Amino acid sequence: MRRPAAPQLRPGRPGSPIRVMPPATASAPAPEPAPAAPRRAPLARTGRRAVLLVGAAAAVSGAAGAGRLTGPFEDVAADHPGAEAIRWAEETGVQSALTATGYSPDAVVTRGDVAEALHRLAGAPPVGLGGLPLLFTDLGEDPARVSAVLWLHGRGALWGDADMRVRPDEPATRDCTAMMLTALLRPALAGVGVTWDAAAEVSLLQAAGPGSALADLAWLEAAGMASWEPTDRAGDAAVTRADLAVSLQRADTVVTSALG
Amino acid sequence: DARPLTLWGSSSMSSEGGAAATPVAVRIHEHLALAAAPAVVHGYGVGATRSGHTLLMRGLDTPGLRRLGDPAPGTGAVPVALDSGLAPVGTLRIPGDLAGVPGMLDAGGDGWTFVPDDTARSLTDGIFRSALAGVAEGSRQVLWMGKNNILDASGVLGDTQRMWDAAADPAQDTLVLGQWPTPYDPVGSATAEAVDAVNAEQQRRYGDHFLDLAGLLTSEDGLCCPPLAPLRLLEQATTQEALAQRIVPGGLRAPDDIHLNGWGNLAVSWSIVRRMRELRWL
Repeated sequence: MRRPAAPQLRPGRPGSPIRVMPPATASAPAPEPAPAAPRRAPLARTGRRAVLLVGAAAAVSGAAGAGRLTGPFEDVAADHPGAEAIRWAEETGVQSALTATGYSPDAVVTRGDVAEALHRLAGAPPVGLGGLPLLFTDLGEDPARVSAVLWLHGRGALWGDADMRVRPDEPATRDCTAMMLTALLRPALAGVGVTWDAAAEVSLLQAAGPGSALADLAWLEAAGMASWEPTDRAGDAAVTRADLAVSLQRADTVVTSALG
Repeated sequence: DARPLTLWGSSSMSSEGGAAATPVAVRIHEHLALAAAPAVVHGYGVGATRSGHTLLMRGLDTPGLRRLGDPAPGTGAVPVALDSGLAPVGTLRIPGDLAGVPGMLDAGGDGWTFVPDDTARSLTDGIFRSALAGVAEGSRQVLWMGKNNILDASGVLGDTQRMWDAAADPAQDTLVLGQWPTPYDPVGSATAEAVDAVNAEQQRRYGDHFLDLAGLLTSEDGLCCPPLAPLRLLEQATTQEALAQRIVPGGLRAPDDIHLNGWGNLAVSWSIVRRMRELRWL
């Protein structure tokens, strides 16, 4: 597994070092913390994640689903590459098991599933559904899914198609999942001065043209959140429950590290 | 810290044209309300207004009002004139007080009128103060003002700067939206040059707190932003023609060509939300 490049902390931002640190190589040690970094009261892991993603409406209570079954699951071998992430996803409630004994790691997730997982990653902040105007044409009736989709849209991370449908029941592709996750995390992390430079991918991105998801895929790889290898950027590949668990656990680790 | 958000400006800020082209109407303030929840979003975009009207609404200008006649029977509306000379426009109505008498300053009809909340109260000439100043207190603000008087570039810049300076924390509390070129603003025209000049100066003054909407809506990258990507605008010849003319493509313009349609408003909403998240407003 590639170690993520160390984030660049912009001078003048909270927590930034006096010098902008260069991206680390795979074998380089982590940079020393900035001597002038502001003091922060330690937050629970969930609280830090929620503060980053939810802002004023931070949910600092414990993660949903605490105390649920944590495996092992009959369909997840101990040496499964996503075993640890699956256990994390179950324990935190970000993506719970489908049955008491099975996790269905190879099941394909839908766009709505991804939205709900991201919403739970942020601590499932409430969304007032009453009085909202019609923003999309296919939200459906499930309150949890509607809340997740609208919350993600409110964060600028989920948009409809040319008919303003969000298509929550369609399979999630690697492209759309990357775009949602990047759109959710990248501005928030940039707001605390944490960025990653995907400059090494510039030629690839330029060849791909504007609007390509490659930029988001590259950013996730640079940030250490991708659940795929850099050589396997098949954007239309389906995303499995195991893939999603891995990406979100890595995202959680990155966010926690970024907030110190 | 769910600080309120106040939107100031003219018809674009009120999303005029937003019902066109999209299956559902797209109003910027509704999308921002979803993004900012539970913080309250106040929308004070009023069509036809100039930057000076925004200052009046915000309570930064407090003109003297002179009564021009008797109250109208039934409504109690008193025709008035503003000593600032600011002309009435559109459907502008501003709650406030005239020499301490609460009421509504109304630009509808043939001229300014002031309608006291209690029509039994007599009015005297005096200073008008907008009640919206109280709404603005402690609020973050998004400014999209001055397109209707863009040829007065120094006036637009000055009025925007006064709005900026009036915020509780001027360097942090304001997001200024840039103007975008319509077909009536062809390259080389006075309005195009004014739009460019105002945008450039505001970019210089406000940095990350300025949003270059002209760049968003007239660039290949901007036209492929997530809300617009499904439209495949770059594959359309009309889009390429518009880009060559450095104007916003027709696919994003309302039928009147001077406002954005639902897709244009969606792109603006996306851009605002992304910047707000980078500024840690959300």
